Amino acid sequence: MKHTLTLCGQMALASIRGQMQYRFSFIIGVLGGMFFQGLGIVMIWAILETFTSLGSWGLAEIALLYGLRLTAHGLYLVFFSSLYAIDDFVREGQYDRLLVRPVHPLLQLMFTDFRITVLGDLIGGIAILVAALSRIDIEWSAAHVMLITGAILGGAMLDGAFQILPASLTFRFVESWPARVVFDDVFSRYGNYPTDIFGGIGSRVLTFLVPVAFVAWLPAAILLQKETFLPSWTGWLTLPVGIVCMSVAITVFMRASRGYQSSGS
Amino acid sequence: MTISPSLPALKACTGMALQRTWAYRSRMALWILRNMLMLFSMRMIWTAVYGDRTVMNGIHLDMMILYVTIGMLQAYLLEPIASGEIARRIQRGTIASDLVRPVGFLPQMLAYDIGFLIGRIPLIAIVLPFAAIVGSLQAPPTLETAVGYAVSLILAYVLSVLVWLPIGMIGFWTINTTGINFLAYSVLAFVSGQMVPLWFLPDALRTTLRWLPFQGMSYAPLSIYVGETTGYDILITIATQAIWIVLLAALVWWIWQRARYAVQIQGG
Repeated sequence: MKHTLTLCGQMALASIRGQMQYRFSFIIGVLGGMFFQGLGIVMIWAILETFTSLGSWGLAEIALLYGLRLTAHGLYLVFFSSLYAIDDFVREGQYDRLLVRPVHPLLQLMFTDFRITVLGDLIGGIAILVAALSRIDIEWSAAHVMLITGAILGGAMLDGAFQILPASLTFRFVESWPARVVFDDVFSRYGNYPTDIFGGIGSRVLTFLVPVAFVAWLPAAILLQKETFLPSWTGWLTLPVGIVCMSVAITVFMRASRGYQSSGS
Repeated sequence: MTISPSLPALKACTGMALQRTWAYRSRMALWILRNMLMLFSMRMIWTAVYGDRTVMNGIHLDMMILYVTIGMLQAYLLEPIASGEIARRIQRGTIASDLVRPVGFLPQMLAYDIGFLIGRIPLIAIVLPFAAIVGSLQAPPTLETAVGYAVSLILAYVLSVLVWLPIGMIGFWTINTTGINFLAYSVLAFVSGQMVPLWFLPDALRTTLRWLPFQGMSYAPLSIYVGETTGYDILITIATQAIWIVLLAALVWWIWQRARYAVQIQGG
């Protein structure tokens, strides 16, 4: 276990060293990520300057959703950003390399192409989350800290699960990025808002089929004492739901990887 | 450079680009799915912020949904491809062969862009029914609006090309433009008024954006289409776009004169 961790650390460091060779690209990359996410919150701010609220949610409360979702996403990216390379790995037969080494192939995939620029998302997420929390009037308790920590960890796992699951399609169809992009869209477009604004069917799909509601909306509803169509304790389920989804995703991925055929080149 | 001998060459560039749009038509399904997800989210968000109101500052919710629907279609149609193309050619080093051709590099890229534009027009027809169901589609209310929109849309396209060309040309100095492109793409989506119409922005921001050329890329035609800009104001909007086109064209030419000497050819 210790050996595995050291190896993963070394792989990550090697790829960071590689990326630091292009310092300008690195800086623009981090800024690009932060800017892109920052603009999302600027858009919400601009709209709420005119409309003051979105349903019963004010700017700080929407920012809390945004901050929770983005921090979870940033955390997911820190570990899984190299998943985007899976198509190339399979098409070019590079997956061979991962199979002959004595570390779990998924772990290797996580760290061989560690994208340092994704730190922009994590930093931006934490900044928005802190700003939002400081503007919300709540009496802090240990339970609240646990709730937020669980939501971020569980949210990151949910994000990861719904990227690893479509990634397993690569072993059969060689290309899986379209499916991954669509799930990424669903999380990033729908995760920042109270799920129930997306209508009866829409919000059920976003809760039970692709559980985006668990990333920010349900835990935030406990914190802000808002009504949802589910009992309020469901806001505590983000971490367990995340763990279950992640386990299923990894199992499916490993099953699917048995169908891997090297390109032979 | 004389026009007559270069015309067939430029036509060939256009034709090539046109064929390429169709070569990627399998991507169309993905594009439709992603944009419908976007459109549905925007529709529901606007519906939620309107809440019990049907009108806000004189803007009906229906108008807003029409705005985001047409905005999405317009963004697809008008997205210039040349800047990405320049970046790719610089990275691969194939820019060398583009530069030695007897036809100017900029005209080649413009011909390329036009090919992509023509190629995408029929694809819009495929998207329309989806856009009508998920968003909302209505014809412009009057003939005056329709004509004004058409003119403003053409100018918006020219503006988009002129704004994106220098972004692509940054590659002549930095080689890699992926980060810059991404940055520009998200900033432009906001400052062009495609994400939020200028009329719903806080005063200071709205005034600033009105004085910048970017609103002419998206907001100007859209505000005509939904009937917010009418009568005499349509002429002012179009004139503003035209003035920016002249200024930006001069700027692009000036940058190009410097970029062409900064070129580095990659690979051997």
